[in-house]
Amino acid sequence: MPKFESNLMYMFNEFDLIDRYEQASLSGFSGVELQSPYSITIDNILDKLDKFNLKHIIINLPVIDPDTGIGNLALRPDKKDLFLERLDLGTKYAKALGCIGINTGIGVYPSGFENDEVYQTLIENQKIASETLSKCGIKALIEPINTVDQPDFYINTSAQAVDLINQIDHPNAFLLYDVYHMQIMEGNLSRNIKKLIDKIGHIQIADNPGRYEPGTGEINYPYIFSLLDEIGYKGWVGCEYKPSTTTIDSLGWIQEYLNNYNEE
Amino acid sequence: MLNFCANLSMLFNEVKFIDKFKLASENGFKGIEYLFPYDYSKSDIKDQLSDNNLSQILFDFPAGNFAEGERGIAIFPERKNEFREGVHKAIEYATFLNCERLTVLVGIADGKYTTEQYNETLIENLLYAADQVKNTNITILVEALNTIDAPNYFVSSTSHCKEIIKAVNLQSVKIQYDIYHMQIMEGDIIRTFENNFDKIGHIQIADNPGRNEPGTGELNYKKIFEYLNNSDYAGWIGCEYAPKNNTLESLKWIREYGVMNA
Repeated sequence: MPKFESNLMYMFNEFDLIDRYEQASLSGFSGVELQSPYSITIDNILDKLDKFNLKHIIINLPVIDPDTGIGNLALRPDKKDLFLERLDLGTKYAKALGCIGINTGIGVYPSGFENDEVYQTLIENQKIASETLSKCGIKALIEPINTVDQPDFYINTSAQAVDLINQIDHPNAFLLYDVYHMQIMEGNLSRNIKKLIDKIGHIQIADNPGRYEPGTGEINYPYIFSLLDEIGYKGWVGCEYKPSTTTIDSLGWIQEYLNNYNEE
Repeated sequence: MLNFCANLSMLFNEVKFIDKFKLASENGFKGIEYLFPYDYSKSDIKDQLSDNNLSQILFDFPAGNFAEGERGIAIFPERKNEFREGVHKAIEYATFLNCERLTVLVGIADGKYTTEQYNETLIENLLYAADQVKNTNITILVEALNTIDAPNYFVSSTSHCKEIIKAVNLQSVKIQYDIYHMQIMEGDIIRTFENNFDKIGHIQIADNPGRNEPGTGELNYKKIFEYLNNSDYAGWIGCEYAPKNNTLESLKWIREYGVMNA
């Protein structure tokens, strides 16, 4: 039975960000993830985690470039120092919140630079991130993202992500396998998950097309969840989807899993 | 409602080929498809179709030595004559059996030629075949296969199929969109169908992994059929899968989903 956690950027949008922790807990989740927790103080989040008995599974590094508004600091050869500052901030949050991993964020290709320079910058930044985070027991996660939603995103397939991880060459660099993005970019989900399982540090889900909850699209999620059990995936599965209706009504599919999990 | 046809190369393998028509009909199918009719006489097949009230939906052009692993000959410059002979034979059968769709398997690239040469040969062969069917109602289909089951098969993506179709530029040449093959090679099934609706002349299905019946793998066929049912697709869907246990058991999904045109 996969352990499901709730993405608070996508879910419970009916509530203020800080109040979504409580809502996730009320809906039966024991874990949450949030791309950008940085508008809230660490203490305020810890208070919520404690009060509602939640684990904070992952966050993202704050990689938005203040000059362009684009989230691609990890790729910018001219802003390596700023990336390191942001890595410190992300690490501070993730460590305090007890996260298992940080999505290191890659971003769209920065115009005006040679590809080789951009790729070397990314490898260099990722090497430092992997090493820094490994000292705190936090996984450095690399997520390929589909180019239908985000044209020019730099890493788009599991093969590219694995190549990058091999270049980073650090045992703390892991793949964040988002089933939604991978169905858009490459399909062949079961075979790839099996093949990559040793490198997968976190999984996220949404159906395709639409990025709505499981059961609304072309992916047979019950089959995927059984597969994760069968191959012994022990990590978390982040529900990073847009509810097709209210968040509560979008949770029909998960009841069976949450009930069973909470009984264990 | 959707028009499903039984693929007799993969379903009802419990009986001999010539006895499969009856079983397809008994299980509610109005149409059948298979790889090749050429080992049988045209009139024997026609008898089976009419005795069992079935339409012949599709079969393939002769595709080389299939049993020995060949998957078409349409890309090989040195086999153009063989391809042309096959075109004539296929049209002869198709005309006699009232079959409106003929599929080209393109072939496994053997490394003797460049990609450009394979493409050019394929396009030339398709133009020849299209010319031969121009006074008929036959559509010629190009099918992409996955390269896990058929390593080095030359056309393995929808985008390559589209390139070829575009170069040929005739209404009578379309894509055969096999969801099983394309889930292995590229995913994004519903969007791909939506974006290429006017270029798709036939659909085939199987789940992945395993190529078994819908419901056995990672695809939510119930939703895919719901989508197709709401779309303007008026063509056929070929059930080209390997039954997980036996054919009768493998057909449960058709009744459960309630999507077949009766």
